[in-house]
Amino acid sequence: MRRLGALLTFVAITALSMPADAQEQPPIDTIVIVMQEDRTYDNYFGTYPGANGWPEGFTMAVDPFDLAAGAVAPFKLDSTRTPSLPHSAKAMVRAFNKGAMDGFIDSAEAYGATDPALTMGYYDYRDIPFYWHLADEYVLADNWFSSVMGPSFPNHLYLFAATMTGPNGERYTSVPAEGLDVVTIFDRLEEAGVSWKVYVQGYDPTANFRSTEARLGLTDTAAQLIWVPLVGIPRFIDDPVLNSKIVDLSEFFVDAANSELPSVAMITPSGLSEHPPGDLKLGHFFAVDLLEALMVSDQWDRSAFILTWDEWGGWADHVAPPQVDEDGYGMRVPGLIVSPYAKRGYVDSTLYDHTSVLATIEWLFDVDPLTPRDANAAPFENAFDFTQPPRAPVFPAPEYLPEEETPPELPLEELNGVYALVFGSLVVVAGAEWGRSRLRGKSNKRSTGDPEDYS
Amino acid sequence: MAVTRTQVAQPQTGDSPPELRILTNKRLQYLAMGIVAVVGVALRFAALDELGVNSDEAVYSGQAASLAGIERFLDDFSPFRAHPLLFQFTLSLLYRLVGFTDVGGRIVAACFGLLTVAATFAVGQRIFSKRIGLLGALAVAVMPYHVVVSRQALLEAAMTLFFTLTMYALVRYREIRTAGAAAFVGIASGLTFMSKEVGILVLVILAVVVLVEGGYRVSHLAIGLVAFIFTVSPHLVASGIGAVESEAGGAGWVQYLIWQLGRPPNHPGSFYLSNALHYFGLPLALLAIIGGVLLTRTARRNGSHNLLIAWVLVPLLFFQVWKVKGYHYIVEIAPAVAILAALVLDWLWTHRRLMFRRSSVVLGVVAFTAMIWISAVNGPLEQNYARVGDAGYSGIPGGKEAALWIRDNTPEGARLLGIGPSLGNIVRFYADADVDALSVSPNPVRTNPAYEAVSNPDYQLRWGLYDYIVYDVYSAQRTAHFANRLLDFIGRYGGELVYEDTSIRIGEDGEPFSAPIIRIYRLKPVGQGAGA
Repeated sequence: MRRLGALLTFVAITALSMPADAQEQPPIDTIVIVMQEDRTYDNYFGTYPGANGWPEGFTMAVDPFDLAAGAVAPFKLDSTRTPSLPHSAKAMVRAFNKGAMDGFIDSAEAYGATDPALTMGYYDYRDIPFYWHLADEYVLADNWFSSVMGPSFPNHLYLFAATMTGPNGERYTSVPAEGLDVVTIFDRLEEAGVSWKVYVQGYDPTANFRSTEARLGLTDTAAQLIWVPLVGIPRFIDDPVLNSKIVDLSEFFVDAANSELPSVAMITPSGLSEHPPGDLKLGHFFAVDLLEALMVSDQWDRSAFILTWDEWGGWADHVAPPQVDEDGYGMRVPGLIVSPYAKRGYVDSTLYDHTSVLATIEWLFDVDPLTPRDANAAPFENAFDFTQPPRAPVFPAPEYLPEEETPPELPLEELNGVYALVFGSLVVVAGAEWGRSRLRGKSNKRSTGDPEDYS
Repeated sequence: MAVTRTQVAQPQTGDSPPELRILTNKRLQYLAMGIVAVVGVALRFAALDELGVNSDEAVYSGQAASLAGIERFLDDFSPFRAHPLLFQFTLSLLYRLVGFTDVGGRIVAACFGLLTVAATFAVGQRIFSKRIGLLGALAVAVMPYHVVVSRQALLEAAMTLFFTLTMYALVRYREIRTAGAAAFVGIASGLTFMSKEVGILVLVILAVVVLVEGGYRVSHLAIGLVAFIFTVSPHLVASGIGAVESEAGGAGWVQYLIWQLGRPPNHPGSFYLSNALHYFGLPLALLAIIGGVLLTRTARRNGSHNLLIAWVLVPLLFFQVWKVKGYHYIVEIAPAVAILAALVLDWLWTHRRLMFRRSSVVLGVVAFTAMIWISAVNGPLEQNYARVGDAGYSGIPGGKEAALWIRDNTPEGARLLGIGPSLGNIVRFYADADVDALSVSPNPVRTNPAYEAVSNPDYQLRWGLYDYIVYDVYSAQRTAHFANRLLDFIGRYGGELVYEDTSIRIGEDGEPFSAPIIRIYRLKPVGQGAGA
């Protein structure tokens, strides 16, 4: 009895000592994650006002070891299609230059870019108006880093498994012939009975780790092995239950329309991923189409849509990524957090990396972390305001007018004033005249007594 | 100078017999005036919000809301567009007083219409007699053409009132010839212009009267002109601001003028020749023609009579020549038509045989009223869904309902593509959302400066930049080419029907059937196949 009393007391104290918001489950039961390709924060949002973009007067040395060679300032790109810049792990390390962040042009030149200064090019609201609108309306993360100082594959692997290392210390820089041996967030979700699906654009079930051609990049759909690490894991190919949850992207639209999206929906684009030399505009249209499908779904009111980019793609960024372990962080990438509970127009400078997505899933669905990386990552708590009622969706607009280009307000007061002055004076004159004629009429009536006399 | 107002239709045979004094008896006069007023009110105000506003009504009401400073209208309905703003300014006062209501514009227009009935009485009475004034007022009060137009938030109801007041002012000036009366003419004609630019025709009418009659003092003409300029000065100021806006990239009045002059005809040249008589009702129109002939043949014709004839002929001739036609464009001649018709009835009464009893006279008035109604084949009070051909005649069937559906069922910022700009105005008005119009020409000379052309719609649809397509029968009937193009888009980009409104039509076999009037399609997202 005493034990029971002590237990109850402990439970009560524990409950009371917990922060209020920790006691309540966040009202989000559907999270959609989209990872696009190859952009840094400054490449997309370097000129976005009120956030950590290009510093005033920022320039990049052409050669960090020979400053006399000149420097290049960030410049607005005039095309949404560019060549792909070198963006291997080695290229990134050279650009990083031990945290000096001054080696981007040098690195591009060293690794074969035809126009190394291109790395300093950026886009703005004229090219990606949808994204800028989303930043205005929802949350823009300006301190989100790719997880790995490396290219696409390890960063995607981090998004799924919070590691790029196997149980025996093997470093996964590509999918080995025997497949990947990592535990993913989807294993955790499966154990916990939380629904999930991975939607793959142009999904090819045959493009998995058992296909040598696919592993060697010899098929049209080989990139699936880079962007969808699950097809590199034997159990997700062999277990029909797990395998059935890797589906073609077309199902996403059907599920959204039927309000049957799983709790965790991971989307991996292929052709519309904004990866140069593809036209980023089309990828940007596509990503927003995904969001809009969620917005018109009945699940919107309890959802969050996370959009980020896997890695730097060779583009410059001015913020040095903190080095938290031997893998990274890699370069800073943009992050957009869209939800009916997202703070409006909020620039979230919390330190995030791709494993923050996993930390958020773990927080929302109460599953255990996978590695120390996601255990220590900040979830997106700071981006939400659960005290507000769910906001109605706002589709981003294809035209974006920055504040300085907003036309001046119409001079309505002046216009109203002129009309009021002229018509008011007319009314006053007409009233006075009417009164005068009434008096005159009465006087005439008295004098003639003939109502028909209109002299 | 004493002027007798019954110069044309004086009885030829001594004093009027007792039964003909029906309208000179004061109590009966008031009763008749009361009946006219009640009928006028009932016809103009009953079920005023049963149908949604049409495109022009949306624009004028929206401009008024902007003038009243109502935030959500400011972006879409700039007051700095084509027309002067007397109607909109008046409506904005109502909005400021009682708050925004979508039927406010119609209430103000109906008030203008009702005042026109009174003004018609005043003109008829001034030129001829109370009896003619009353019969004319009755004709305007029940005339379906005037009723239909003054039940809509259009500029014509106000313009017709001030047209009539200008005529009254001139008649009054001819009687007393004072500077004040000359100023009254200038102000009234200025207000006519301030209702709509085409109100400038009153100056043409006044010029015709002055030139034909002669003997007007130059100083009074100058006073009238100054009063006119003072009255229209707000529009001059607004045009100045508009010109500045134009320099800053907006649409100025010059662009509107260029567009108006370059607009292609929307109806055949014979439009009014074949329709005008029906607008007023054939018997009433024929009576008015006879009245006009009577006036031209009378030996005692004066400036007021010339005025009445010019009041009808000048607008008719102008709009016959003007390329763009509209159902409501010639409504400003309605009071003159009514007075001319009343003149004939009065003449018939005064020349009738003495055997008619008073009851026959009452019966005659009832028959006159019924005749106007029955004969007005083109003037049903309700804007007929089946008839969408004439510009300005009716609204977009189902436009309001579709707009409200859009407001309630599409996310903020959703992009919609339709056939023509008319539906867009209605949706902007009710739903604060845009429907871009496929038919808007990218050639600025051929485009209303208020509208923007859709750049490369195929590209935009392919990449999911439009979320919905709105197909409406009204716009489809006006431009089959763009309607077919939109249908093609719906098929090509996987439009899924999410809203449909229908109306009952009568088929060629005489059987009623349900026909769609507006359909809204949700487009397939890019990744689902359309653009990928």
